[in-house]
Amino acid sequence: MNWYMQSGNKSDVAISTRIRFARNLNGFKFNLNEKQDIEKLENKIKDNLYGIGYGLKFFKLKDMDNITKMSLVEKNILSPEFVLKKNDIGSILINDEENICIMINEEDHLRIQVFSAGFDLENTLNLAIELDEKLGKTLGYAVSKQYGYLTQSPSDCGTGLRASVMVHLPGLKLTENIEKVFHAIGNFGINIRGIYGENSKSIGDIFQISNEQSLGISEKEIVKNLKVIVEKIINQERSARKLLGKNTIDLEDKVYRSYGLLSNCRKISLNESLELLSDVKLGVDLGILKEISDSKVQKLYILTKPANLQKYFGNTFETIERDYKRADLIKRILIER
Amino acid sequence: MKCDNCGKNNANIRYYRNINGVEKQMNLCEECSKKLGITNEMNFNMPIDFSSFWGGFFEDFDTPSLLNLVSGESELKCKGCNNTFEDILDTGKFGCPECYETFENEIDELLNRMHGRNRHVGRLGSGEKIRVENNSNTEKKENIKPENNKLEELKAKLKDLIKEENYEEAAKVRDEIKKIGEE
Repeated sequence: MNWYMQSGNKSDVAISTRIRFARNLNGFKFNLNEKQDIEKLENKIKDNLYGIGYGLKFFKLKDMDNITKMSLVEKNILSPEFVLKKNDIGSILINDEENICIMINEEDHLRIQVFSAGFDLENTLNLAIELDEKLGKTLGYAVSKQYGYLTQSPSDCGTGLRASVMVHLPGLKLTENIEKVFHAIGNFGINIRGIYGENSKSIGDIFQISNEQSLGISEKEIVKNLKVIVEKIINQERSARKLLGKNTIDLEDKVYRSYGLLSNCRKISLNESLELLSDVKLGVDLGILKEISDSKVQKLYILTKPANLQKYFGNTFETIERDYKRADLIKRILIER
Repeated sequence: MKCDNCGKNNANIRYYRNINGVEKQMNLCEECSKKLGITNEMNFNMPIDFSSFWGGFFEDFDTPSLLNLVSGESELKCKGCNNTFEDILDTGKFGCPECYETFENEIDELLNRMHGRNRHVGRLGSGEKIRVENNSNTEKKENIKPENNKLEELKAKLKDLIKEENYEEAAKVRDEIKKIGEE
């Protein structure tokens, strides 16, 4: 089963973990636009693919169909900017489990990413480092003793590391404590954002927490700091949920209303389904809603998004039609054993 | 009024700027305003793209050292990509790996503002193996006293126990660690 369908460590709050390294190869300029440079870079990677291993396969963005590309964006495996703006020059390396994905010619030559379910910074970082060492040895990175791994944007140089954890915080939202928590985090060089990364709004109380600094601080330290902060947030969220649990009827009512709407609607928009799913997930995580499992909730989260929905039905739909199909799909998943 | 940049010529251009609600005002002479790319011509070339990521890092625009930083080295071009420092400020992006070396003197301050530091620490390139291990301390130093060894062992054990939420056993180990520390 793919990582995004699983539940992992502390997955009542932490949905997934991502480690990303920004890397550039020696002997190339940063932002490659010339066809021959791009081909040279791609060939260098393709020629070494077997040696790199991990079951990685090479795809050019322009050779992939739009729905597949967008379905990867919806799973947060590819950045929306990459798919929308770098379609002609970008390519990817990805394995079947989709827990390793390297974006080629995104902002940097390589954006190495490793994902896992739940809250698992150490193991994810270890795998990313292992992969990174191998790639570095075969491809040759642009590095400097002073500034570490050199990147197009100075905000990424040094370790080139961005570690992030996706969290579900309905308790803090409902108890109106979320602003307070965000404010406190800001003092620790930690970022908190909506689910698709930069400049994106949060939908369904899902947030991405990540490190800000990448230079002058070791990978170990970055991950350690982030771990401490995320653990704090998880604990805060859990106590907020406890507080909500004191008013049992209100909370149960909210959860079951949302569940009722999801199971019985005949058409539903993405935003509405994400809002309702947030209540249902909270109900399942708190043991209020026993009718469905957390893996079903996870499945709903992924498959109700537009591209994944269309991929599931193997067809393209207009927006209105998608809303009917979404309601249909939710019912199918909720009923299936 | 003298120019805020060179302090020699009379200022005849008033320059306003507003970034995220923070207003700054500068009085410049014509020469300096041209150097900084602040002119009234239609095709003016702003050295700093205020909408870019770097804009915010030049809050101290009116301090002379930074101003020289912006205007002074404009002749220097990167051998790798032919970009000047102004080009880089325009986009907020380096052109090639060599830029870091070429503009070494200019970027330290910037990096400091961005990361709070400007020198890399940690892993770099292949060969160095610094794996982050779970629950164990692999960085063993030479000449460790036996007690220290035991201390490390106990600390690791304590971590494991806390992870397993075995607090009873953890308390015992914690007391043991305390004992060693006191000896």
